[in-house]
Amino acid sequence: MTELEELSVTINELNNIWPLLEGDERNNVLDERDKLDELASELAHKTINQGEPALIIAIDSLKEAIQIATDVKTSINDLSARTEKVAKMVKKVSKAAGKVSKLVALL
Amino acid sequence: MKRNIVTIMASLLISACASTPTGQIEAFGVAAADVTAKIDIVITDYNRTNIDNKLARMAQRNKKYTKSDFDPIRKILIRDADKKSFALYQANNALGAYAISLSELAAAGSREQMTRASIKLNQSLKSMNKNYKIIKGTSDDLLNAEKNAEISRVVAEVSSFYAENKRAKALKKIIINSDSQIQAIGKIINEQLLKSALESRIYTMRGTVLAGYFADYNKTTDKKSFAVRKKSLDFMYRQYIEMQATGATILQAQNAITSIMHAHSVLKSELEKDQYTSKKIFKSIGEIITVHKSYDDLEELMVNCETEVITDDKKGIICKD
Repeated sequence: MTELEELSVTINELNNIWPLLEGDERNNVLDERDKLDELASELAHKTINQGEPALIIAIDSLKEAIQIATDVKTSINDLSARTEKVAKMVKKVSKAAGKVSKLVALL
Repeated sequence: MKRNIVTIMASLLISACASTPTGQIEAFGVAAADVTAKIDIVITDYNRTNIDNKLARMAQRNKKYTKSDFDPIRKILIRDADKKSFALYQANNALGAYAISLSELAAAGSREQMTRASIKLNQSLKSMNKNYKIIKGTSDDLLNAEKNAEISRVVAEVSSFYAENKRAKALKKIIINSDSQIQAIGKIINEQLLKSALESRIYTMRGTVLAGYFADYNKTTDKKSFAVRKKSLDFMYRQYIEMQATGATILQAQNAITSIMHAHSVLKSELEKDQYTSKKIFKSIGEIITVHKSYDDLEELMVNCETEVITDDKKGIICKD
């Protein structure tokens, strides 16, 4: 059981006691419950905020894998882009040649 | 002509799953997107219960309050702007980004993409041939239709096989190497963040609110009628059931994470089975022959199309009417 779970069990037990009490007895139990509740709140916040070192290491490794996947994807996509570039160049050059031939014919 | 179009479309569809487990990668992506939604539900629930808990604690005291007593409540909430820094969200985002990167890699350099590029090349070569004839003042072709289509076909075919081979190798390496990280992240999110931190906390905070109603009930029970007592108990029982159901939303988020872990381990084991044995190589050669045939149809389409070969989103690769 984690520290947070242990705190939760104690708070639950105190919540089962104080509604049956009155006066100072009730206030004392409520004081203790609130103190533990503050601790539990901080601990929960810290746990979901910071995580443990193993989690951070795993996240960093996964980020490296994402980068590799992105790099390979880019290099593969470059292949079709290069073919399209060749197509564009051929089109451009042949158009220019066509224009030149028209000009030559006029002279 | 129609047969050609159907064959090309079918071969493009088949090619999407021929060498890489695209279906499972897609399933993995869907599972990862589902996790984000489920975790958001848990965090919304956590924020709402936190406010309820603080207000209940205040109401359980016989004290007087002012507006400033509400200030501490704002500090305990997880705001959208803060989410990026939270380990829970970082882990979740990493899983999501990983799934997207795999899906994009699986779709990169698809045969359709390569074919589209080769069609553009074919059109440019046609245009070049036309201009050549004008310049030379001849009716002889520099590149006849057959030669032109063959060049485009070879470019598409070589590029396509190169892309598929590179993609399959990269996916295999990435997925096998990342599986231990995926399993570790999933386990920590499920056991430590969702179960131990969020579930136990939400359950306890709901218990604190409920205790206030019990205190009220106990204080005045001897002065109330049966009907009033029953009405109060009905209300408190509903609160109690809600408290007991705390695990349900957490369980949904945990199930979503478990789906991710499972989808990834299926991917990994499938790729691990592929040992590149001679049988596999033979199968690959068989696939190459099949694909070569599909490009024969493309080549035929390019030769026979008297207008222009175009790609239509609905019909696939067709000859323009």
